[in-house]
Amino acid sequence: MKKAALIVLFITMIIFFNSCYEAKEINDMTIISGASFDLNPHTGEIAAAAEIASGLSEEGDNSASVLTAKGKTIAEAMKNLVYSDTRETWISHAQSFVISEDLAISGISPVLDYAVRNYEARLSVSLVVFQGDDPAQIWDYEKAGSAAFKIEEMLLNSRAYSGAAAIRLYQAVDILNSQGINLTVPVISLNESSPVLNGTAIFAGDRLRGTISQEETLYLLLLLNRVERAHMSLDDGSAATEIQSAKVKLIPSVDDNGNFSMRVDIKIDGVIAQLDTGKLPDHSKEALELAFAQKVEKECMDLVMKLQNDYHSDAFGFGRAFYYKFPDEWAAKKELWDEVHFAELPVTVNCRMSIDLGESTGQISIAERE
Amino acid sequence: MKQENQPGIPKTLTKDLDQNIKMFQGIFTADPTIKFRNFENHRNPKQRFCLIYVDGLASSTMVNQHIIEPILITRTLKKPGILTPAQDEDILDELSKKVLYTNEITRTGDVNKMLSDILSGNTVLMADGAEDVLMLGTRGWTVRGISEPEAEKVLTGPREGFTEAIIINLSMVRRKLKNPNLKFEFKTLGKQTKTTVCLCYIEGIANKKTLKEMERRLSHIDIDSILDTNYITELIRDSSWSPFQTTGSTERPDVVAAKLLEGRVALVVDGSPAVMTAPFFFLEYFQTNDDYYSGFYFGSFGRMLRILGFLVTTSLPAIYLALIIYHQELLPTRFLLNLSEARQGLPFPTFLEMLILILAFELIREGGSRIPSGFGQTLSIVGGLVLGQASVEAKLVSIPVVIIIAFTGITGLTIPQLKTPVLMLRILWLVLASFLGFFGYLFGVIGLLIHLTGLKSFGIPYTSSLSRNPKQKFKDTIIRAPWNKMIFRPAYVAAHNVTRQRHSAFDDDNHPTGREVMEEDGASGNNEEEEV
Repeated sequence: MKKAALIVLFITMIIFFNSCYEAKEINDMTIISGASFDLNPHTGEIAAAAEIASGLSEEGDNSASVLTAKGKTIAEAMKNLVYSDTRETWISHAQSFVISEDLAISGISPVLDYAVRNYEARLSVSLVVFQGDDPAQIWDYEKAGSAAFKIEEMLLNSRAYSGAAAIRLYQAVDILNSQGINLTVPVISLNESSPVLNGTAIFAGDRLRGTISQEETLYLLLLLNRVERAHMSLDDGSAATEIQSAKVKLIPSVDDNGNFSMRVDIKIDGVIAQLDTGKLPDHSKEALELAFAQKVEKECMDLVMKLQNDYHSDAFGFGRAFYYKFPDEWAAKKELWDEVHFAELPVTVNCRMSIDLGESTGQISIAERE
Repeated sequence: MKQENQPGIPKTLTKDLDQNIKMFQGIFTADPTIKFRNFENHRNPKQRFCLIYVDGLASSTMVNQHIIEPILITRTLKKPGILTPAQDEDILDELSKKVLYTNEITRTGDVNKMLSDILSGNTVLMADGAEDVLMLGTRGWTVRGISEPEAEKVLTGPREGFTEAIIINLSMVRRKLKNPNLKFEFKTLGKQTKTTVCLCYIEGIANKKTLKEMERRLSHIDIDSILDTNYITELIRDSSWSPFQTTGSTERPDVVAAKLLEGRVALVVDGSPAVMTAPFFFLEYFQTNDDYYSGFYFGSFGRMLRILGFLVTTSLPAIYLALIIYHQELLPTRFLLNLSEARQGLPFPTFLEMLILILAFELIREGGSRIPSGFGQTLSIVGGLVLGQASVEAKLVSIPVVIIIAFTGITGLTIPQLKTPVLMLRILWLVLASFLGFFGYLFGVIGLLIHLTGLKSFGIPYTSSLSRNPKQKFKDTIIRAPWNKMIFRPAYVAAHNVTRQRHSAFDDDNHPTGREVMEEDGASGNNEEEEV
């Protein structure tokens, strides 16, 4: 009798005191696949646009529609999205957050804050900065399918050619909370109907300082030691190499007077991808390796100087290298690192290139073929 | 089983044949299958005889040629003196020694014994002037031929299955185990049916405790009828409300032989091809005889598939429901989008949808299990294809749910013996998942584990195969090890004689031989293995 009463009590409790109300049928919610945030610099109003992806269409593509809303904060704008749709919006499956340049200039902290505090949003969502007028265009332009999925795939595939400094939300939060390194976020712009990668945005703190081009992105990734595979050509078009592996060593040093200096050792292994012996009379292994090494050193130095002089942003993590090796000396300089000390930091870049020419590459020449 | 003396039936016969016949006719009124055959010896017409037998149970050839014919034509009975009243006790002796050709002759004066013998197919021979009778072994009714059991087919290996006749069944077991230690203990159960049951075991291997316990439980049975083994199974089970069986059931003599050799006992019931074995453990559900007859790789793979099948068929609906209504963020995005598309405009919540479909599947299965085989194809086409397709197109249920339930149903058929627990767990876990998501499902799984570890089969824990088998380890559990590695019998079944092989013929490892291990353990094993 007691046992039966307990069982009845248990079942009653399950039915009446459970979290059943949290159950949601998936057709009762609007699944957001990507969101963009824009800031009106004059009114300070946030405009949010969300892409709503749906199942596969006949062409095997995910079709999509767009919701837009405005609000004083990111959270309010996102909440207001509900008013333009009959169903509850649900952000857990968002693939990418697109941030306008205006919002980035004023600081991206609100976006990160909103996503971290909102338990529905995923911390692994990709961040990109949109170069153009209205970031909502990115969803509009892609009538044929989901732009959010395309951006995510593009960022994933870019690892094969080191085309983008892809960053996820939790990594951005991590960088903002660490010292001696600044945030870099891929830049997306629209080319007719498709989103394309268009360089990298350099931040100082959470504010956008400027952008670098798609080609410079490769050397940024190289200095960040994030290159897995990449293509590189000499400026005169005489040779191209495919980078198989690249290793970067940051060697910070502090002299007796407390002056910082940084040496960067880069070691690259590559195979020759293309060789025009007409343009390059001396095409020996040593000459090619030297030419590429010089090119890498020059490009890296140019980029370092650009960030030192124009953007005042240590996106390479040089400061972090000092912090790890000379924590006491670093403490004195960390306050004004980006503006003063990084800008004045003497940097030397040494590159050692090793190129595999293969067996017969050296002999193939236009002259011989003719 | 005590013979109860029914009122109105005398315990013994008289010397008057006519009176005796009248008495038997009084007992068997309104039963024309009971035949009374009166006849005389042609040399001594005064000496009358009467045969009583059941038409159809007793073999006519036996009765005609081996009983009536010799008595009719014998010249022995003409000897003077035999018929004198002083020597009338010798008529039956004389008959059984010199006249009758039957191999099985018993002399008795007990009417109750006569009745049960007549009803089980033997023939009673009464002679005028004798108070006793001769009971002659003439059982010879028609039985179903030996065929492969429908529910336990094998790819390779023996194909014979038990029939409904207990003697034939026992002979099949005996043929597998040509060993005098194989013992048969007959009992009669069922007050009305008086069903013969037989307890089989191998002396020296079988667990004596199990045997005693089985005998004890059988002696407590007091029921009017035993028509199938399941009557006994349910009457003697350890945990009467559990959906899990604590005794095994098989229709194959090779399986029974293998289980006897592992130290189990078997109970053969007359009238049913299903033989009960005990004790029975949870993992035995996943072991089939095919595992041992096909290669050990395939056997092990099949066993793992069956375990996977059990997990899938019980868990899949619950996991799917929990994912769909509570944990959508765990689904891959594109899959979720397609699901969302598939669910647009559906009238029922997912839980109800799944419950209805599970019920529909069980209805179709139930319909299919008892119809003539000719309808089977129609049923599967109409039930499976047409109904499924139409209900999806009519937007009654979503495609993923149809897929999940169909898959669940099909995988449920991998272990037909588990059908009851599978059905209960499937629905219970589904309900729990609908209330509490994954938490509910996990509560269900934990509950099942608690229940399983708490069960016992004849005093031995139900999960012993995994927890109490140090010598065999996992060799015959989730995997089926090669035969040369299976040196020992499962020790948890019968601990006193565990060595299966003394020396493996192609022994590539230096594992200890059975004798060494036994000496180390100080166990005193019997030496029946060689004879087995």
